[in-house]
Amino acid sequence: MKLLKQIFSYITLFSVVFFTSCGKDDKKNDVPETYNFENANYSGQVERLNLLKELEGYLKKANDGAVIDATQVKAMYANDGYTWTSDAFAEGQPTKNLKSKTHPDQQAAVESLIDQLADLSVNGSTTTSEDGAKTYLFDENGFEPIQLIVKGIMGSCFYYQGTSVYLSDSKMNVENTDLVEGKDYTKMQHHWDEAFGYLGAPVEFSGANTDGGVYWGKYAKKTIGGGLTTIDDLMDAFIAGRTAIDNKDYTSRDEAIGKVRAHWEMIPVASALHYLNGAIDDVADAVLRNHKLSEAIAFISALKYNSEASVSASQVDAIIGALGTNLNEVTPVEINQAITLLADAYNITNAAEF
Amino acid sequence: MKKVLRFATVVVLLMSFSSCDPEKPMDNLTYSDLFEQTADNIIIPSYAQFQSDLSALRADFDVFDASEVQSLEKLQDQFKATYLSWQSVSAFDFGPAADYSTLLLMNCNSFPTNVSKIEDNIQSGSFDLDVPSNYEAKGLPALDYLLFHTSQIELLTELSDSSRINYISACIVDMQTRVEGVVEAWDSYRAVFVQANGNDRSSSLSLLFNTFLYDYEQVKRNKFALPSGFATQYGIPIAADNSVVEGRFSEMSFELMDANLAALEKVYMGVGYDGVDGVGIYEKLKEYNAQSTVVDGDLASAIQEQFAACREAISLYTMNLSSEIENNNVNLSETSNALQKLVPMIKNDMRSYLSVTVTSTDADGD
Repeated sequence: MKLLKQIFSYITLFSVVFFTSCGKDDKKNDVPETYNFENANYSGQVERLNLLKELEGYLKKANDGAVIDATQVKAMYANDGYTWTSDAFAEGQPTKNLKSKTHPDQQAAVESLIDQLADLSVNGSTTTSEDGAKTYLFDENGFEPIQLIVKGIMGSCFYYQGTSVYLSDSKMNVENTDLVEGKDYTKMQHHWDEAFGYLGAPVEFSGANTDGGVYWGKYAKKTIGGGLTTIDDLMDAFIAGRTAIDNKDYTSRDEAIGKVRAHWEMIPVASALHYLNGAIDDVADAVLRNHKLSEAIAFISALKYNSEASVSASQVDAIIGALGTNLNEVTPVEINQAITLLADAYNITNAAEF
Repeated sequence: MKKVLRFATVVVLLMSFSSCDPEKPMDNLTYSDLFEQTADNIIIPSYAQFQSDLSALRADFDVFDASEVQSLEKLQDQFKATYLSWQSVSAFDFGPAADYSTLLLMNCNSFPTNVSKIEDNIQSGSFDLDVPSNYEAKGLPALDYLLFHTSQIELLTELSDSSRINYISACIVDMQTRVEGVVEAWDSYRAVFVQANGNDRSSSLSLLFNTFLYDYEQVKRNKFALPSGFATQYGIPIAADNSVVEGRFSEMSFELMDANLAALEKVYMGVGYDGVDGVGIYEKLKEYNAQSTVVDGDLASAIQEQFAACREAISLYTMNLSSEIENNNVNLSETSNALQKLVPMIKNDMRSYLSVTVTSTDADGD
């Protein structure tokens, strides 16, 4: 019986593969399967992802009881007067910075969280989950500054640049015939590549091959749990848009812009749902719960930085507001309220599966 | 459009293949008889019993007289009966019991209880029992402390303090309200439960299996291995700590454990509240002719025998669990092994025949 079951599952699998590859033959021959464009260049974005990686690594030392130097973190954030030490910068110091690319309204907010973290690292103390596995540093109301800083930068810098800035009219209505001096790409091609670079996804990223993503490319996997095809849809949109630019087909490019914005938006949505669900599962353990809620809050906040967001800023505030101002006193009903508001805003009916 | 077509083709193909697969267990074996027996003759009457025990506890509490030892004894006895009947519902932490406004398991039986938090709440007089930080200061474990932690004479003195009485009252009412909600919700949830076929995460089979497994693992680990020093964290042993047993102050850990095992055994065998043996997981495993990978032979019987072996092992102790741990009774290790042996039978063998997945997830690394 079991063998038969296995045989059938193989046959089914085989036919799925067979039919999928059949379908792919229909695709336009000039749309590649991956983002492996010959003249694609987004080294500046890769550099910024690496800047955040090293910054995050330093901040997390606070969870081990280390004192955090606010001046140093701000120097890292602005890349002004700090010497980078991670392997990514072994060949030379980075020239980019995170601060100037963060949404203007948020730069001061990030720096004030840095001050708060530095203060807590001296005057506060870390707490450990009941199972002894996780230790985090929270403020008096249960918010975790490290998560709000790191995931906050993912939202107000990477996501903002990737969905809004580089796909905006001012970055898209630019030269697309003459190459940038000394380069093998046009300005428009490069801007598109830069938007893609902020996704932190490998060129061959797909729903079937989710390895190697960083930041948004890593959290993109949270969409799979809820049954979304975000990863394939988003990669298809990025590839289609770049192909359209190569073909000077601006109608298709503009369609792709809408798709990138809509599909990328599902990554913070799915990640927030995932952590809100997790917070309910761990509701009795304040450390695990408040850590997950802090992650969720940062992901929900990110939704503001998409210029074609499906939710308004006041909706975002209302979702976060459902959790109250003191996470130490949040109830499962309140967390569920946040889940419901978020899921309803995106017509998601299977929120619990994320 | 192209994508829709492609998707539709795959779906149609998948559907046609599944339908010409008559040997697939899920196709010809239904579980509605199991669900009906479990809902009507086990779950619903067990909740009713717990609800009625709580009412009786409330009634004894309402007429409690702090000048009479007999009055305290009556209250203590009814508390024990209530804690025992809780053990018959703890395995059904899904549907109404898992509703976010209810979370019956966490609100009724989070142990070990936090004694200093209880005392702080009583002293301040201002507390919100809905807040998760108070889960460890409420429910049956809190009452276990408040009604048993010292001699009867001293308890009577303590319980003449109205702030203490108010707190006990709040704890009882909180449980009553939650259970009442669950009992009422089962009126309509019953139809959902018996019809939710299939084996995905939200199917009744998956819910029943996963809460059964979780409840059993609670017995094995939190009620026994952890206090006895047989639990590990990341492979590193955790030292014995007899203060974390269930029913610490009433000293009824073994009784509670046995009641919990007996309740799980009844769910497994399909033994109803009326004592009649109907369709249980046991019967389903028999239908599959399920074989055990842990011991040789029939899985259905192996699990039945292992439940009996575990309960037999517990019945041989003469003192309460806390004292046995303190006295390093050498048999504890054997009991731990007996309890452990059932885990792979349920988690691997039973799960694989039922074709469901374990839904409890591990925390991810960030």
